[in-house]
Amino acid sequence: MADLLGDGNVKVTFCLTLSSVSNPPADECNAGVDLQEVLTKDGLDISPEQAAVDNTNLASRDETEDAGSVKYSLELTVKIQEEEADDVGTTTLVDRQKGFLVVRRNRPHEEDYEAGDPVEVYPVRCGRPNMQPPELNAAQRFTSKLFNHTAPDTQAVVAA
Amino acid sequence: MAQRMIKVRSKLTGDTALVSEKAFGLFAGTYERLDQPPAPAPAPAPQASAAAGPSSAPSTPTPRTTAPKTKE
Repeated sequence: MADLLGDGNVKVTFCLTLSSVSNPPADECNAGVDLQEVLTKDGLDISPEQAAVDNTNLASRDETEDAGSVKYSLELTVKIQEEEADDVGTTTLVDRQKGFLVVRRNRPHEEDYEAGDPVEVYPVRCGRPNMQPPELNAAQRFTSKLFNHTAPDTQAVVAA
Repeated sequence: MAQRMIKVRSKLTGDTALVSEKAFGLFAGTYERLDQPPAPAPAPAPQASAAAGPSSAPSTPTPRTTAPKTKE
């Protein structure tokens, strides 16, 4: 038994179009722009926020709740690159840009998407880039909030 | 500052999308842009201008009409 390491094993791709959220074809995923090399180590922040549904009744002696709907919050922290040609984060994640964020976590990021890869797919629209305060001895960064406008599939599988 | 967005079409699926003009280069391999400005109207061909020439210059046919007079 061995832990699945995160180092180098997370691929984050921004695609303009996908014909399927649950089974995105590999060539459509590979047509996107890879962002993992311009994100900070902790720059992929995807968190489900699940609402609680109060299911107590008049007879209840305990306060109980059930699982409600889920909202995904997505935020990327991007390192700005010196050369414009390398600065794919700044170029791609512009205000109001619509697309799909595809995340694969189980294989080296250099490898292309292939049929059978488990991925997460989030239909998103980019918010306005938020420049972070400059810090000594740190790359300049901005954060980009991604608004999940349509139901995602966090257990999607890449199709051929 | 709002980016200029251009319409593109996937060469793989035919789906269309909007992308910032600056980012288009990153997707150019698999997307074609649909906003190409219309090609400038072709310059009038030399033949067309030559044909228009005589009609705009009425003096050219005039000698022909007067030609029979010289034979008399």
